[in-house]
Amino acid sequence: MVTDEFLYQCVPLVDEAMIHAIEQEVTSDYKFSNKFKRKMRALIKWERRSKIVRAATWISRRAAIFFIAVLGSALVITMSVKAYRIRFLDAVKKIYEDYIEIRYAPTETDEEYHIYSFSYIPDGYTLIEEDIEDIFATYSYENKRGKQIYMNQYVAGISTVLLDSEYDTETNYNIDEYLLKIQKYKDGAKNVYYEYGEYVFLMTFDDLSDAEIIKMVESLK
Amino acid sequence: MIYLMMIDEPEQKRKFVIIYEKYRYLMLKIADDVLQDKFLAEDVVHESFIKIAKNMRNIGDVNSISTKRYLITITKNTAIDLYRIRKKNIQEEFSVDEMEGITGQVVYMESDIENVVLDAIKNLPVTYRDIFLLKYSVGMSYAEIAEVSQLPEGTIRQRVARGKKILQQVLDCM
Repeated sequence: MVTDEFLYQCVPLVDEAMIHAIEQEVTSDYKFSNKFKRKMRALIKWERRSKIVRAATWISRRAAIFFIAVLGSALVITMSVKAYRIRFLDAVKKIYEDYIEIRYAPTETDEEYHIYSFSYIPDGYTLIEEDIEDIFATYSYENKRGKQIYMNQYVAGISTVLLDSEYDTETNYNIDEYLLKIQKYKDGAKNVYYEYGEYVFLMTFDDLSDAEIIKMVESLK
Repeated sequence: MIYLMMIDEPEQKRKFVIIYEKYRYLMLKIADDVLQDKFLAEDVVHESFIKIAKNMRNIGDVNSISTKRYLITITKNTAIDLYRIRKKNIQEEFSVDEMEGITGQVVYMESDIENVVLDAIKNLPVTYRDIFLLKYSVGMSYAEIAEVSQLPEGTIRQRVARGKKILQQVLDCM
């Protein structure tokens, strides 16, 4: 008779044998890519961070390795979707061991929140994910080679942004007097930070030239 | 956007790192067996670790069979999800025996239970066997299995019941 007791006795024996058989075929000579190692380093560092830093933290599913936006949760709860009042002043930047924190002090203004999207997408890329929630937007694009683009939009007045500081080189551009910061890694990946009015855009690119990135940013509508 | 659950306890943080060091190659093999693409497999391994970080409460002894089975299940399901997205074939039921990549002989530890009985369990249709492994080897509840398998809890209960019937029929024929 097949009972739970019988199965609790037998199934672990089967499981152990199956897992041992799989383990016999595992090789540890594979060299993980730099992209993977970087993503895992960031995830492990993230898991080691203090509870205070990680409280009320939202991570874009794919962009977790590069950018983290911390919400002022009280302000979010009381805010309506279509209209809000924010204060906007200069940003305060703090540099920590492995990240830079940018905190925006808001200034008072009446503004209807606007969700931006790219009107220009590089050849070969298609939209694979779109997530718009109240005052945040996330877009993911991918081409046939599996190269991806992520864009996250935040309202600067209620968000604190944490930027990875372990990039290899950084180039700053000025687009209509707004700052565009491109952080580059040795494997070709790029992080982009773009301040536009009361919004902050955080983007990641697996493989795209600065010229194409600027073209995409300029096409935001 | 997802909310990454905190690993608060220092012990759990240390455990997370140990799991990464010990099992990333195993997880890569599981993912690669499904996707046949090392770069996609790496993405799956990373996604799997994000899921594992959210569910560290399900991890006991890092060297235990139940922990290994849990990691294998998370990785395999994540790989299959990615495979389906890329192939856009969501109706197809996957046979995952090949995807688990067990090409060698399975050898059971010494016990009072006959190997033919254990083989009967091993050779159950994967749909039922994988749930048996999570319930009776890992010790997960129906709700936990439902979450890992992304299936309704009712479906999990039905599959356990049907799996028991099928196994009973096989054993009766011996």
